Amino acid sequence: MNRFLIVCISLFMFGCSATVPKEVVELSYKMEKDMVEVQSTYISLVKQHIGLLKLQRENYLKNEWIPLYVKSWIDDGQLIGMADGSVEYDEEADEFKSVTTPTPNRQAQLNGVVLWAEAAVSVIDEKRLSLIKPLELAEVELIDSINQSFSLLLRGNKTITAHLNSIREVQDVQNDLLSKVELGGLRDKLNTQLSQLSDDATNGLEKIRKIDQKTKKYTEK
Amino acid sequence: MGMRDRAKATARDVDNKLAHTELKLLAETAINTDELSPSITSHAHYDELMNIINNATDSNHKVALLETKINELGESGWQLASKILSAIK
Repeated sequence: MNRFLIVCISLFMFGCSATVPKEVVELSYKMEKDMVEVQSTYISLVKQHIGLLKLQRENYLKNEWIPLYVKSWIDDGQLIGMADGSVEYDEEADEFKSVTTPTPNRQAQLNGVVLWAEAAVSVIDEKRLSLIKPLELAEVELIDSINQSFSLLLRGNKTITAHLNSIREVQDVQNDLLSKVELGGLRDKLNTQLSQLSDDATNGLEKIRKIDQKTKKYTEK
Repeated sequence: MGMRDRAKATARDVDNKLAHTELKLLAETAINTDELSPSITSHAHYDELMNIINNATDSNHKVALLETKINELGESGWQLASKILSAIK
C-alpha cells in the first residue's frame, strides 16, 4: 500500500496525464534529417540560379564585349602596324612611332605586341571581374544566410527532440514503477478515460447548444 | 599614359557603346539576396526559448534518474522516498 501511495504521489508530482508516444520523438528526429535535405536542395537551387546568371553575363562578355573591344583595341593599340614592323611602341615616351628604317627592329616589334596583349588580357579580366564578382559575393552571402537560418532551425528542432525524449524517459520509468506495483497500463487507462471524458464533454456541450437554439425559437415566438 | 592605360581608355569607349545592352543585361541578371534569403532574424528569441526548454529537459533527465536510482536502491530506497514524501506532507 505504501509503495502504491509513493508511486501515485510521485507520478502526479512528475505529471503523468499526458501521452508522448515514441513516434513523436521519431518524427522530430526524422524532420531533423529532412531539414538537412531541404537545406542542401535550397543551396543547390541558389547555386544553379546564380550559375545561370553568371553564364548570361559570361555570354555577353564573350559574344559582345570582347569582340568589340578587341576590334577597337587592334585599331587604338596599332597592333597591325606593330606586327608588320611599320610602327614601334616606345614604352618610355609612351607613344607609337613610324618606322622608317628598311629592316624592322624585331625585339621592339615583339615587345610592342607583348605589351599590347598583356594590356588586353588585363582589361578583359577586369571587365569579367566587374560582371561576375557581384554575383559571386551574393552567392556567398545567400548561402551563409541559408546555413545560419537552417542551423538555428536544426538547433531548435534538436532541442524539441531532446525534450520530448526526456519526457519519454520519465514516462518509461513511471510505467516501470507502475508495473512493479502491478498497476501496469494505469497511465493508458487514465489517458483513455480522460480523452473519453473530454469527448463526452464536447458532445454534451453540443447537445446543450442544440436545445438552447430550440428553446430560443419557442421563446421568440 | 602607358599601354595599359591606353587599353583601359579603349575599354571605356566600348563600355559607352554597349551601355544600353549592358544595363539591360545587369537588370535581367540582378540578384536580390533579401528576397532569396530565409531572413530568420529572431536569433536571440530562439536562444531564449531553447534555454528554457533545455532547462526543462535537464530537469526531466534528473527526474528519470531519481526514479531509476530509487528503484535501484530497492527496499531502503522505498523507505527513504516514503520518509521524504512524509516530510513534504
